Amino acid sequence: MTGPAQAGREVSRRRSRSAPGARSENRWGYLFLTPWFIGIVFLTAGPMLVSLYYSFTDFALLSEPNWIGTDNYVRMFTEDHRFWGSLGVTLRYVLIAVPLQLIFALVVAVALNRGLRGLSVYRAMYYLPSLLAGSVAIAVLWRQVFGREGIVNVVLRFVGVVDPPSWIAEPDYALYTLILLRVWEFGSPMVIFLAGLRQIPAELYEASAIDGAGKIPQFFRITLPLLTPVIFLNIILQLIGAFQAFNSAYIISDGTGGPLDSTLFYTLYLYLEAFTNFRMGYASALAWVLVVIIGVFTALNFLASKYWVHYDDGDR
Amino acid sequence: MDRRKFLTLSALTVGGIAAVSACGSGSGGGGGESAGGELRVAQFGSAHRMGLFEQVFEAYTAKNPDWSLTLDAASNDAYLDKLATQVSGGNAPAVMGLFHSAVAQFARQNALVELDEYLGNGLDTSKFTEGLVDLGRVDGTVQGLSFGDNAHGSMYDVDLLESLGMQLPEPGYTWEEFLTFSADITRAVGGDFYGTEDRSSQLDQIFKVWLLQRGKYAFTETGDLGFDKSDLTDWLELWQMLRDEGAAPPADITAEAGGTFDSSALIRGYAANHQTYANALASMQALTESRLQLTTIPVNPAGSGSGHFVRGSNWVGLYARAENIDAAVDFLDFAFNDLDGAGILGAELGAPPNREVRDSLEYTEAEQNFIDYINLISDELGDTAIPLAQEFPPSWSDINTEFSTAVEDFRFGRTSVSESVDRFFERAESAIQAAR
Repeated sequence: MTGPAQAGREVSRRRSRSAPGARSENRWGYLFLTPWFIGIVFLTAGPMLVSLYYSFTDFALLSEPNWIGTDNYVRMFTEDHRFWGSLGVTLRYVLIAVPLQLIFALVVAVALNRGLRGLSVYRAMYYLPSLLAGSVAIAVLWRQVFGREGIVNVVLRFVGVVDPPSWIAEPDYALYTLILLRVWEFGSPMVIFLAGLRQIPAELYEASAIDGAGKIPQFFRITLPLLTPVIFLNIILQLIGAFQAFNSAYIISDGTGGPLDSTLFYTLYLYLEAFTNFRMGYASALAWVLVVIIGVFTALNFLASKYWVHYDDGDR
Repeated sequence: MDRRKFLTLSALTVGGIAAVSACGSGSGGGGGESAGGELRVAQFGSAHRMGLFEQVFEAYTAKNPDWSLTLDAASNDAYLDKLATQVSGGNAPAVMGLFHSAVAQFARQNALVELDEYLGNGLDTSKFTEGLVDLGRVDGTVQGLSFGDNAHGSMYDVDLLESLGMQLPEPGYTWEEFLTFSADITRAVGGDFYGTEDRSSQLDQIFKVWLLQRGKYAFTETGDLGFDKSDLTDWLELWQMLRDEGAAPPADITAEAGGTFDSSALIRGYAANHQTYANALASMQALTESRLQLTTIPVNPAGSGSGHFVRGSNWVGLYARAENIDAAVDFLDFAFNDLDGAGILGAELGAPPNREVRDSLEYTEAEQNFIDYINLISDELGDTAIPLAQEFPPSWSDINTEFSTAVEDFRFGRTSVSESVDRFFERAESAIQAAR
C-alpha cells in the first residue's frame, strides 16, 4: 500500500511539524485561500442551505415563503407526471450519450496516439467541438441542421429518402439530436484518454509483440486494463455533466422541452418551475432530489469500480 | 447556472439599492408638481419599442422637469424572471410592464397597487372602451391596465391570395368556408404549403374564440374548467378533419414553429395565415415582403355570437412597495391620455385605449389595418370581454401545458381522441386542486 507518493507525504508532514516559522507559513496559506473560502461559503454553501430550507416551503418568489413540510417532495413523487417524464428523458440521455461519447473519445484517442506527425494540430481540432458544443450558437445551429429544411435532410433527399421528418420536431427523434450533440463534445474525455495512453509503458507492448500478440489482443489485454482508472474518471465526470445538461435542450426546444416533453431535461423542468411558474420552493426540492440522484449514481460507480478498475500501484 | 444566477441576483440587488437610495430624496412624490425624483419603468419587448419609451420619457420630463425616468429594459424571455426577482428583493421599478398572463399572478401575491382610488383622480379612464378597465379587476380591485386594446384575429398573406385569384375572407366567414378555402389554397400552391397553420394546441389562442361561439369560457369565475369533454373532443376532431383534408399541416411542421413571430408557419413559408393576437400584425409585417391583412377567426353561424372579444395586450401595473406612487400614476395618465405621450407609443402596444387618442393619431398601413380591426371587434362583432383574473386562474400555466400535451399527443397520433381528452381532464382537475 505504501507507494512513493505516500512516503513523500510522510516526509513533508514531518518537516512541516519541525520547521520553525511553519505556523506563519500556514497563516499565509490560509490568507491566500480566503477568497476561495469566501466564495464557497457565500456563493455555494450558503445558497445551497437556503435552497434546502426553501424546498420545505411554498416560496413563490413574489411573496414570503410558508413552511409546508415535505409537501413538495410528496407531490413530486406521487402526483407530478412531468417530474417522472423529465427524469426518464434525462436518464435516457445520460445512459445513451455518456457511453457513446466515451467510446467515441477512446477510439479517436487511440487513433491519435500513434506518433502521428502534427498530433497537436489534430488534438486541437478534435478538442474544438468540446469548447463550442455547450454554447448557445451551436445549439441554434443544431436547430437549423436538424430542422425540416436543414442540411441533414438536404443530404437525405439527395440520396433518395422521400420526405424525411424534421428531426427536432418529432418527439421520437428530438432527444437523439441532443444525444448526438453530446457525443460530438468528445474532446475533453479524449484529451484525458490521450494522457492516459501516454502513461502505458511501451515495454509492455514490445514484450507482448515478441510473444506474438497482435494489435487487437494488445488493446484488450494491455491498453484497456491499464486505462481503466482513466475510463473511470471520465465516466464520473461525464455522468455528472450529462445529468446537469441544460443549454442544448433549452435552445433547441425553444425553452419548452418539447415536442411533447421529449427533450424536457430534469434541469430544464427545474428551470421552468422556478423561473416561469415561480414555484421556487418546488424547484428547490427538485434540485435537491437531483443532488441525491447524482450522488447515488456516483456512489454506485465507485462501488462497482472495485470490480473492474485496476490501479497500477505496485501490487502486480 | 446557479452561480451565474446568484451573481446576477446580487448585482440586481446592489443596483436596485443604489437606485432606491438615489431617489430617496424625492420620496412621497407629488404628481410631478412639487417634489421630484426618479421613476423607474420596466418594459419588455424589442429595441424599437424601447426607443419609443425613451421618447415618451423625454416628453414627460419636458413637462415635469423635476422627474427623471429610467428604463429597465429586457427582451421577452428574460423579462419576467428578472422582474419577479426584483419584486422578491423589494426593489422593483415603480411602473411594471406585465405580460397578459402575469398580471393576475402578480396581483394575487399582492405585488401590485390597487388603482381604484386613482381612477378618475389622477388617472383618467373615461375615454376608454366601455368595460375595459374592469378587465384588470383581480379580487375586486383594479390592479392592472392595458396599454392597448387587442383581440384574436387571423392575418393572411394577401399577395399570395391574389396570385391565386382568391380574396381575404370577409370577417364572419364560417368554419365550413374556412375548411374549403384552406384546402383550396393547399391544392393550388402544392408542395409543403397549407391554407392554414394549426395552433389548436394553444389554449389562449383561437380555441377560446371557438369555445365562446359555443357560449363557454375556458375557465369559470371560480377557476374551474368552463368546458367539458365533448367540447375538447369536437375541437380535436375539427382539426383532425382540417389536417385530413389537407387544409392544415401535419404535426411535425406545426411542432417546428416556436413561440416567436419569425418561426411562425406564415413567415417560414408553410402556411398562408397566422392566427394569433391581432396586435402581432405590425411585427409580422416587418418580417415579410408580402402584404398581410387581418380578418376574424372563422365563426359558427349557429353559435352564440362571434366568439371574438376585446382584451388587453401589453399590461402595466404599479409596484406595491414603490415610493412615488402618485408620480407613477401621473406618468401613466400621460402615457394613456396625453397626445404627447400616447401619440409616441401609437399602436406599438395595442390599439390606444383612449378612443379619442386612438382616432386622432396617424398610423402606418399595417397599424391602420389593426386599428380598424379592433374597432370592428369593439363596436360591432365583439362578445362580452372576460376579466383577466378569469382568463388566467392560479392553475393557468399547468392547464395550458396539459392542454398542449393533450392536443399534440393526439396530433402526433400517439393517443386516440378519448385518451387525450380523458387524460387532460384528469390532470387539469388535479392541477386545479393543487393550485387551491
